[in-house]
Amino acid sequence: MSDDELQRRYHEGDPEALRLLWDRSANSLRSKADQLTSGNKSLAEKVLAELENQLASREKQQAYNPSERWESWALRVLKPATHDVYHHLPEEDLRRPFFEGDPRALDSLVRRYQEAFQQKAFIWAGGKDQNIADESLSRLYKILATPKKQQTYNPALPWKPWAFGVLRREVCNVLRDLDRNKMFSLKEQIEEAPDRSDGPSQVAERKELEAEREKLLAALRDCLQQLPQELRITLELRFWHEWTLKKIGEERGGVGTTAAYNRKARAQTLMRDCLAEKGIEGGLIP
Amino acid sequence: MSLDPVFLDFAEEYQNQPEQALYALQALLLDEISVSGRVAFLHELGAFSETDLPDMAPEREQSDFTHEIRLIREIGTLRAVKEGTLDPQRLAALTCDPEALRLAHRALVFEGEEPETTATPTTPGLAASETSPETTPGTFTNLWVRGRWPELTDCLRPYLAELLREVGMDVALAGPLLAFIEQKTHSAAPQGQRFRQLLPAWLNEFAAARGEQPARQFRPEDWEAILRPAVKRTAPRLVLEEKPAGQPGWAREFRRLALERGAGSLHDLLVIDLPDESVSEDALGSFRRDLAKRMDGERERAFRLFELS
Repeated sequence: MSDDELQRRYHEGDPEALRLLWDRSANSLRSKADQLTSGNKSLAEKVLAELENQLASREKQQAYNPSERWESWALRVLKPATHDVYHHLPEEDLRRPFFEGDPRALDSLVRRYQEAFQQKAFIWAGGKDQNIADESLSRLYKILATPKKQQTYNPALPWKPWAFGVLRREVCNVLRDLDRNKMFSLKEQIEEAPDRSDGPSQVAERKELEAEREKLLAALRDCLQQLPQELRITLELRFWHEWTLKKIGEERGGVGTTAAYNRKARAQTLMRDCLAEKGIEGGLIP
Repeated sequence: MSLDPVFLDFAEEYQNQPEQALYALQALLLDEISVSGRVAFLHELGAFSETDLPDMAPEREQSDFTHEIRLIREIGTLRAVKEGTLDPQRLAALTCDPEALRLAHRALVFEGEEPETTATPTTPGLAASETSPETTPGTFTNLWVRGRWPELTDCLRPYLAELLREVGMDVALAGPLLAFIEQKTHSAAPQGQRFRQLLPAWLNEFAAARGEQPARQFRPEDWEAILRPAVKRTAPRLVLEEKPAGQPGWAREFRRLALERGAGSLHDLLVIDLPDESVSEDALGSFRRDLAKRMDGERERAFRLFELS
């Protein structure tokens, strides 16, 4: 039977015509399904099953124009069918495809948590400036699409808490970038932002954080010990006993507010220098 | 990590550049390492203050930041300040209070998260319950399922020494054991099992890896008999080791004596007397009862964490 005849009969609802057309186009449909699922065989099978299901519906048969090549039509339906499959997959089934770099898995995960991301980003940004939240989200989506970042995710674990961790770091970065004169140059910074997606795995990242924390604690103690006593006392009074600079100035030798401020600033500088000597400084953890 | 949040003088920054100060505070509250660094910095200052400033009360005055933390979490720091519901002076105080900082960080980052749910499984595959056991909030299993590692680590750390003692292993291995358990929990999902069920196997594996021979064998079925005494000993100690702000000297002395004697109940506390006559019987009685109540509370919390209750 000719393709034209089969196409006409498919349009009229003949299930046998669908079977024959399907067989004739099987190779190109399979190849496209593989491509759309980034080579994931199991997902490709699901997509093809969904496509077959949709093509067998009366609605699709009637929507089909028999003068069009059936294979082109089926390939057109394949894309939304793929979307439907990903949309209905449980989160667990999307974890590994995401880890392996499947853009549709990323898209589906982001879509299902988009609202939660938006709410969190807004509150984490302080609940006032939507631009900061939007900027953080934009960085998040950009970073999640990088293979390096995807490979730091452990597919055995839930995706959402991990992605929230990435978002939190991005909100922090945006807030820090707001520092001083950078208020209006966020866009340029995105282009110049260092790739923070390095890291062999979540476990290693976690271990690295723990190690950094231990290192910081030991260094803080050591540096405070080395600080001249009067400077250390200024920090103790300011941060632990919550004295005002005025009170510190008056009660520690009657030196006045400015001198107390200078002492505190000197103590902070010495602490920073001491910590830097021990390898701890701004940008220690990207 | 930038060091700026660790040394942030919020009160001063707020005076000069209110909005920048609030952003800096928000960045501090969001970042686990910065909060840890800041908390350590404050604790160290407190410890040095005891020797540098012996005439000053070593402890900070206790303050309740529940209201502020709720606003930070639910409304947002900047918005709440703008609306006048959050007082910048209270925020300044919060940045100097290590416990409040830690609570604010946790509340902002972790609370309000919905439990992990999945879309309807229309395709074959593992059901959610097969990979994530149904969990009760406040349990190690729940913290594990939700990937709340810092909390899991903080809550588990104090109990490991007594656990090791109970199975006849060196208590100095508590740190390496914690790292071992962290590695286990970070690298795999629960796969339908509970934290408590896996702990004996991990302990066996840990002992074998270090060539340790535990004096007591631990199998899952007698695990409860091992865990309970360890929890019962640790929980009261945690309460006695607390250093609340503004605590009078006699209370500190009482805690020291109670710790020395391994007190774990109201009965144990009742037999401890203080040589200091400046404290009234009423104050001491009330202090004992309060401690005992808190010990019970801590024990219950620990039983819940380990799913023993």
